[in-house]
Parts: sequence; C-alpha cells; structure tokens
Amino acid sequence: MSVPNAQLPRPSLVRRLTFAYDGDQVRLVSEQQVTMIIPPSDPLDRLEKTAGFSVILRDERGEPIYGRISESPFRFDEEVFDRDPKRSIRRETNLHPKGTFVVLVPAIDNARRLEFFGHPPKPKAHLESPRRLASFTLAPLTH
Amino acid sequence: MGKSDGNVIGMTKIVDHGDPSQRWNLVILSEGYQSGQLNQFQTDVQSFVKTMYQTPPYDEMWCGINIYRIDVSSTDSGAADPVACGGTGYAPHTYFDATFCGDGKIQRLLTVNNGTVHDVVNAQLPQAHMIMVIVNSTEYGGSGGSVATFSLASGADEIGLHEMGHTAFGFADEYCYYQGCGIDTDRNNYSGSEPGQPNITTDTNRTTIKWGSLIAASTALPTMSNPDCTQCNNGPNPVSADTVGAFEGAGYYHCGLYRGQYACRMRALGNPYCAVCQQVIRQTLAPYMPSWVYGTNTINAGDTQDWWLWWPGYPGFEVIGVQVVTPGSELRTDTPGIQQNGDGSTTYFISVINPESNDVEFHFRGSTL
Repeated sequence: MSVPNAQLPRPSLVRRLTFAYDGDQVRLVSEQQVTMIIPPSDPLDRLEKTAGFSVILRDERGEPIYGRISESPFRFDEEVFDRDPKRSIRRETNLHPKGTFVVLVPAIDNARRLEFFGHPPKPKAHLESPRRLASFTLAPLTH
Repeated sequence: MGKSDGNVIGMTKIVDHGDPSQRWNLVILSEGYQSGQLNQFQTDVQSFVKTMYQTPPYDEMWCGINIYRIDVSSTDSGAADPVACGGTGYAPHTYFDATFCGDGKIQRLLTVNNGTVHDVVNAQLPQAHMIMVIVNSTEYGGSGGSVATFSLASGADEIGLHEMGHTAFGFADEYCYYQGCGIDTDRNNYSGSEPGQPNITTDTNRTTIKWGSLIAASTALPTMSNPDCTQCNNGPNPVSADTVGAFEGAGYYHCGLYRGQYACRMRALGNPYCAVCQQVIRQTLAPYMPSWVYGTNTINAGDTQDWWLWWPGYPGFEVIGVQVVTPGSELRTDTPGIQQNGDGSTTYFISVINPESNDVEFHFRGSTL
C-alpha cells in the first residue's frame, strides 16, 4: 500500500538554461527542457529587496512568477583555499572573470523573461544598490 | 587542448535512489585521468561519496540523493602547474584543461574549463543539480562557482562540500574577512541591506531573525559581539559549541553581519555544517525524498528473505518496523550484507528470518525506489 505525501512537489517540466559570461557580459548559450524537481520559489516580494543575487522569472505583464535567491554565479572574485587553518578560505579579486553556469526555472507557459537581479558584478559591488543585471527573452515552450 | 585531449567514456549511477526526475542529482566527473587510471577515479569517487554520506545532514537525506560518475579520459595525467605561480611548468593535455594558478596569480586556485564541463553534463544528465570535478593531482587546490573542483590532496574534499553549500543551497560565506584578517582595510562594518542568503543576517531580533526557531530562549542575542570592528574577532566561543544564536562576523565583514553558530563549514574548512545550514539542506532536499511505502508480507516457516537496500544505515532502506501479524510468532533480522557490483557501485541487503515452524505474516515499512 503506497502512502502518497501530498506536500511533496511532483517532477515537472523545467528549463535548463546555460549561460556564459565574460566580465560583466552574460549571454544565453543553450536551453534544454527536462522533467525534474527544482526548489519552490522564494517569496516574490523579497527578490528585489535583499542584498545578493536573484533569478527572477517574469510573465507577459512583467510580474514576477518565480524567483530564487542565490549566490551570484558570476562575480569578480575567486574563492581560494589554503591549508592554513586560520585562513583556510579567502577571496581574491579576479578582474576578468569568465565562465559558464546553469539556471533551472520552471517551464511556465506565460513566462516571458528571465532576469538576473542583484549587485553589479564588479569589485566591492555589495556597496551599491541591487539592480537588474541582465534580462533575457524566453523562447516559447516546445511542449 | 580541451575536448581533443581525451574522451567521455560514459556515465554510471553509483548511488541509485530512483528516477533522476524525482531525486537530487550530483554528478562527479574525472579530470586529468588517463584511460588506464579511470579505475583509480572510481575509487576516488567512492572515497568522496563515503565522506559525503558521513557528513550530516546528507546521511539522513541520503534516500533523496542520486550520485552519478562520469568517466572522462585525458591524454595526459594531472593538471597544469604554471611557472607564473611558482609551479613546475608541467602542461598536460587534459579534457577540461585543469590548471593550478587558474587566475595567473594564486597557486592553489585549481580551475577547469567549466563550459566544457557543462557541455558534458548537459548531454549526459540534464537533471543534474550539482556538478563536481575531481582532478587527478595530489597537490592541494580547488575552486568554486557553478562547478566545484578539487584535487586528491588530503582534505581537498572539504572544498567540494563547502562549494556545494554555495552552489546547491545558496549559502553565503561565514568568514569575517575577505583576503584575510589583518590584511583587509575595508571590512570593518557592513552597511548594506539584509542579505538574501539563509545563513547570514543583520538581524539580531529574536522574533524576526531567520533562524529564530533554532535559538533557545535562554541564549543571549547577539550571542557574541566583536569589541573591535577594525579586526577579526578570533576570541573563544562564549557559549557551548552547539549553541545557535547570532555571532558577529560573517559575509566578509568584522561587524554588522551575524552567523548562526560559532563554527561552520561555510566559515572555515574542516568544520561540520552549522545547525542553520543543516536545516536549510534538509528543507532543500526534502522534496526529493522517496515516499514511504507500507505493506504486509508472508514469510514461510524456516525461510529467510533478503531485502535489497541501496545504502546501509538509513532506515528508509531498511526493512524496519517489521511487525509480526501472526499471533505468537517472532521474526529476526540480520546485519546487512554487502555486494560490490561490477560497475563500482555497492548495494546492501538485510535478511528477514522466520525461525518459527509456521508461516508468519508481518507488516513492513520501506521506501519506494
């Protein structure tokens, strides 16, 4: 006898979006649609009010419909590790960051844009107000 | 360079708790292993998996986690070691172009081409939630970001666990300096708004602090303040090690930002995750846990039934609560057996034994696979 747990989210269609960044320039490289579980949205009213970085999915009216607060995937420093227990971790500035990262968001029919919101990706950016960093038009879903 | 310097051999599911669409999926790739060294990579991955399993709270959330190993061979072994950082100048041809001195300045910054890593993972397992690369070098090093990278040096797996905190669970760093205590000159007082990350805060109000449910009524807030904001506060813990409160010094600042516990893996390597981080990990992984299944079964007189498990120690995959239905009967269970599979994974079984002279009906509880 199976006892379903109604509170558990079911696997659903998710957009797996791969981005590349070079300095403060970010571009969408590819998209896959895949069935999986991703975390639920953080409270939508917090996304633009907290320090840090958020991924925000917006509908055709520009209203947020899903968002996650996270560590910024593109930043002008690197985490460096050392055997010195008093300084086993530290940050070092990287003036030319370059790389790739993935964002997972639900595949929602009325989602139109994906935004990165947070501090500017540059040294000492945390002293500046969070703002929209990049915005991408999403292609219609293929399902 | 890069993809011409090796091959993607294939992917193996080494911790299997079910369909990847329903579980939290960790992918671990090899870098700097020649094809003849991939058996060693299997061993290295198993070592990390064992470490992860022994790391609370992953142990109790284990049933919600799948782990995949992607074997990638390289033409040469190891990672580049540029002379710019005092290295030997070794420049191997490897699939993900691993190199120490990844920024041209810092020797221990071990990086890979994470674009190539994402290409491989997107093709092999697009349900991946977390990606790690183990680099075949005994020199200490690693890096974070969207791909956690670490070497085989003793203790380097801590880098993977710390970076997983950032990438998978959104944790902020809890150390109270940027480059180092006594080095920074601009990290005295935090003046920004409330951080979005779940493990640091500006708030010391008992009723509104993010992790208030973990703070005992008898714990003072703030629990530890920094008396000199021009310096890191490396003073002793004023309370017991397991006390959750508000400890000043976090998020690269000496003052104005607080962490939940004196020590945490997000503050310094070699510590457990603090109670605040553990709670977030549990909450994040909860949707991936299998549903419980309850059932009734009959075991014949004198028979032994083997129930296959995916990992020992977690009750979700043991036949627990074997309650006898047949009046007057008793069953016993044996210590799990171990089976090493050809693909390098391990499965376990537990035996339910009926010593009675009658068939016995029993209830069991397990979890779906």
